[in-house]
Amino acid sequence: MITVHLPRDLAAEFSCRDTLAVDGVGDLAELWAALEQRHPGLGRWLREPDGALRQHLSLFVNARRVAWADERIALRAGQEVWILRAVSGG
Amino acid sequence: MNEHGNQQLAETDRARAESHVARYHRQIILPELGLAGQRALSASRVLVVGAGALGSAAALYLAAAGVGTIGIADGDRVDLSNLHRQVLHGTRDIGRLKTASAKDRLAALNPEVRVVEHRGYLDSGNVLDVMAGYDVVVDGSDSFAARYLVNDAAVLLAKPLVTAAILRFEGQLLVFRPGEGCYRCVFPEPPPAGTVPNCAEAGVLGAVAGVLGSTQAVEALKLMGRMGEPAVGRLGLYDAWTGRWQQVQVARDPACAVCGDHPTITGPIDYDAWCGVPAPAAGRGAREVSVAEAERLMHQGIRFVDVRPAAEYARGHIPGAVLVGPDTSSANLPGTADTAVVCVCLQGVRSAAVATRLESQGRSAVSLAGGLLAWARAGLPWDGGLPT
Ligand SMILES: [Zn+2]
Repeated sequence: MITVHLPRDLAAEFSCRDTLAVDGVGDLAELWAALEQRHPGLGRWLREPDGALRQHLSLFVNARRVAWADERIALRAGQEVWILRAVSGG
Repeated sequence: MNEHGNQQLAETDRARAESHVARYHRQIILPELGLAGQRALSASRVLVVGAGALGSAAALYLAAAGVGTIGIADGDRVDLSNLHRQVLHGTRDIGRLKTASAKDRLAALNPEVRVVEHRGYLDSGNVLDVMAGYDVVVDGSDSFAARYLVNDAAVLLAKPLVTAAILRFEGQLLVFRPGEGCYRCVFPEPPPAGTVPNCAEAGVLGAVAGVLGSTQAVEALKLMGRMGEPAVGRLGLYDAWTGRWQQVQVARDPACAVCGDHPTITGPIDYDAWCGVPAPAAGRGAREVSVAEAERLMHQGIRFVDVRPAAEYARGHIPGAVLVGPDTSSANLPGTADTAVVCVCLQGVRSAAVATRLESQGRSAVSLAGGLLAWARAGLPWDGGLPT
């Protein structure tokens, strides 16, 4: 099982929880597909038309920033994936 | 000077030294800080960007701790709607420049601190000159444009940067020392304009700013007092909703546009253009802007349109605002189809409806939250009788 953390306002937009448990995914491509299947539109919203993660989002796998969100990046059970976007309030 | 005068001077000095030690006694007895650390703080200069919610909490603790020089950069005025989170300012300060209000408050807290007002917003033209005079930068600004501006300047001048941001129940904290990465390494691009709401639109719990702003003060004091382990290399995520702090690791990105191996940004750029002009969130009605933001848009030359009936407009209005009336459509607005406008009415209700209608007609329009009442209350430019 992979734990995925989403920005709370994005989760609200798709009426899902901001922390999701996803089973049976072995890489990023499978994770995007699983998210899209569970919450139609979400998997697509997270990526540019060419499949790359949207520019203003930052992806962290196991607490490490992934500069280039290659779809082949392997995920293992127990890992945490953070999808973050900056906020600007001060 | 006679012997008596000399003796008096010596006594004054001694009294001052005693009160100095007494003031900071509880932190001087921390062996990790001590007298040497306190002396380092007294000799330090910190620039606080934004006297808003984060800047309020940070500046108060930095002043209380005895940092020698605190620069405050802000061009905004105090608004009633600021006070639930911007604890530097009081009810009596409404309408005043935030830098002036901050200076008074910090001087009252600790007269030993030198507070320098930088009135007006930092921009590409002045940021390097202002920042050059400081040792550490604490960023509590409230726009992406300002955040990237401050970050790039800190990288270019090799200044440590303690940056934080808040929204609703969430806070983000990042600390960078020169050469160890920057804000752009973590967030290379700002979100498209209008996709991430600001505090005026989405709200924020005031005390969340206290948590993040105080943490910024802690990190800045650690850097200046040369103690502890700075929270570098991590993005701190505070979730007030669950009461959790979580951290993810960040590192310098060799491909970073400003601090990478082959930087493409070698001087301040046009940050407003780069971050995009204000755009509405799709399907949620037109975006509302605060009085402060509206004032900023006015300085940027964005056109103001008054949607009240002509009789109301005639009694008094914002100088330069164009009367368009309540039934206006995109076709009879000033400017061309891609000219953005700020819609105003007495309380901000009618203008929100008009702005939403204009948006649906493909026009970029925002509405002044709180309307002309809020504008006039802030003491901003006004022609004719004040609105009631
Ligand atoms: Zn960088």
